[in-house]
Amino acid sequence: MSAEVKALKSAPADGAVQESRMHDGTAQSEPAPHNPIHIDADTCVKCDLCDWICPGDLIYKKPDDRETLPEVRYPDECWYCGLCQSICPVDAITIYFPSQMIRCRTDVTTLLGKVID
Amino acid sequence: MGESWSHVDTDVLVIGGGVAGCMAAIPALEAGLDVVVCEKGKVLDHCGSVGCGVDHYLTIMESGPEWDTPEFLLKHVPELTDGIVDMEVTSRVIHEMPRVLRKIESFGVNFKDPRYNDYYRLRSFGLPGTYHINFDGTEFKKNIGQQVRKLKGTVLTRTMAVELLTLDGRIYGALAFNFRTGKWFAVRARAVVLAAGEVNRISLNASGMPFDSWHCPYNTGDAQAMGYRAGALLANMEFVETTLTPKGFSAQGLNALVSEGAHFINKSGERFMFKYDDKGENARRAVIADAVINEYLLGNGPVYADCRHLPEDVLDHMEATLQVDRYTMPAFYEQKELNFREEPVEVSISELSIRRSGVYFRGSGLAVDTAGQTSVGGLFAAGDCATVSGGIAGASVVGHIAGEGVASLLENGAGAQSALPAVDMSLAEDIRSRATAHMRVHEAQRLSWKTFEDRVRRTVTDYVGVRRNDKGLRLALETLRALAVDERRLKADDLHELMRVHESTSIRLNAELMAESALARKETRTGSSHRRLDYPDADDRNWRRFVVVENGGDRPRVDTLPASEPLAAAFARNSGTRSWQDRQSDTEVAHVG
Repeated sequence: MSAEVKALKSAPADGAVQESRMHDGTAQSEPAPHNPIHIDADTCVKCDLCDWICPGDLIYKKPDDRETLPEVRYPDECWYCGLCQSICPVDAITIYFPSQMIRCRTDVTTLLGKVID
Repeated sequence: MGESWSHVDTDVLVIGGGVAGCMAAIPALEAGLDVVVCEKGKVLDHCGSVGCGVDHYLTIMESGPEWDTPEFLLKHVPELTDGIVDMEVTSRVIHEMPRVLRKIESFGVNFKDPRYNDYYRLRSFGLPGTYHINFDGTEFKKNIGQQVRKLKGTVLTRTMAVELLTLDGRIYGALAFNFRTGKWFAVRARAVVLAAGEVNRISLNASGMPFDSWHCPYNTGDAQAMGYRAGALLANMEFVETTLTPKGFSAQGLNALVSEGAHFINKSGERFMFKYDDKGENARRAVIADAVINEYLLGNGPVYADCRHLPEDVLDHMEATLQVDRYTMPAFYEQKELNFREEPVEVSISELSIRRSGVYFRGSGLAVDTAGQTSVGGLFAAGDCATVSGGIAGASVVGHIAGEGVASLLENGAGAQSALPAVDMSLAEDIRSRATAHMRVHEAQRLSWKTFEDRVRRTVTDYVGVRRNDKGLRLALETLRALAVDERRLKADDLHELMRVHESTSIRLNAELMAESALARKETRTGSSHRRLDYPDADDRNWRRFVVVENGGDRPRVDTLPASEPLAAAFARNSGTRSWQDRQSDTEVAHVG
């Protein structure tokens, strides 16, 4: 088993609960969205490249500040393009796929439309 | 009046910095024009659909054999598109392919395969020759983006255009905002090129994650929506596109699979593609998708992509290049603990997009003429938002044509040299105020863009997707119009969400245009790209026609045009010979909202 798969097994499980606001404005607990972009805090050199390259405006990093880690602010908007991982100069980023991607159980016929007469 | 504006004056505004936008900017810059590119990403070298790489480029190379000539490919375009295609524009695009290829090579893109020090060309998707160069395009977009920077194009990054400015039916700029700083731009331009890609996030997929999409999920039909509101004609909006993806990950890669010889098998192990097309797995993308949809509906799913029969050297090449189209594909297989060399890979159809319906050269979007200009004077379109499209090659060639078209218009077009009109600032304030109102929605009214988009996706999936009928489409239109009323309740908690809210409204509008156009085409064409269960057959006698749609005020106005004519024959373009000053004195305000 590769190091990456091992790391996956110890990565935070999907469905951790956090406080967040629902669309009706009430504060409720809902499962935190899966964060696909894992940034190793010990390895990260706190440059700005992952923020710079992300095409979806997901990663926010305080510019030119070598103390602050980048923050994945909108994890559920990730395209899984891997640009952040590819540009990281110290390989601090690993992309983890959530269970609904790697163990997808969706019945494909549910994507094929409803027929009403 | 609100906060200050950043006023920008330029010759050419390009909206979207992907392949098409950059390739449009380049000839305009070479002609000595001032060019501003407005782009939602941060860096031109890696934004757009192929910012993380690409592995195929469709082109004529005129290498000797008859099939490698523009004439030969052009002759086959009607069968590739089932007769619904703008042949005049396609002819120009195909003829320009060799020249644009050489030009891209001059930017440093290496299309050659290092194994052979030659072009490695493959056949796929029903094309009548080995037109696809299989190459390592990891740096493709980087080389093109660098060329724009080298020629000193200006880039407004993390900036989203929200509305075009028109006066007397002629475009003169756009309003845009930066979603990191909140700065608003009033850009005046003598011509605008729309190149913001296709429409994604419009239907459900297997993972249930809207941003897990085959193509860039940040391409949301903003160009089509802005062009529509400004009066541009759109065509082929009824057609949907889907592809095959490893189940659970909507990623690119089908071309590599089929061109290298993978088979598709159903749950019984039957290699079924030859039941649907005598080209088997080399059929058009639309046919492959349609076959897989049918297999699932027949209860023959799951469907698998099977590579086990392939020779070791082919498997080695596939494995070595797995990450070229999508960098994270090797990690997906690894985390899934699946080895595609030894096991069949379960596949699903992807989510839908409005792009080019699984065939080459029939794009869905803004109708363009042979210079890339839309029906609105001074407004051009290229790439997957235009009516002639064909992957990165189509984006490159149509983009380049549009850039040259802009240069020609600005050099020769009467009135183009005169001073631009002043931006009507009360109109601009009105547009900004309506846009930023999403940040001030009362909590009791709050509707999240995610919920709103989910409703659009559910509606499109169920009634506007791969199986349509009159009743379902009408039901969908009712829902989509009701959602339009809800748009004012969309709440943005920050500037990033304000950008997403605008994407959501573009997606909804495009879904409505798709449903309206699909209702009009009373036949089935190109299988699941437009399958009407109530009109299950192709009707060549009555439907060798384009469905076109334009802004009709309250509702989209749908019409049809003969497919034997170029779409531009219907353009009543007001590009005129009068100066901006004359236009301004005639027209008090041309509001595009």
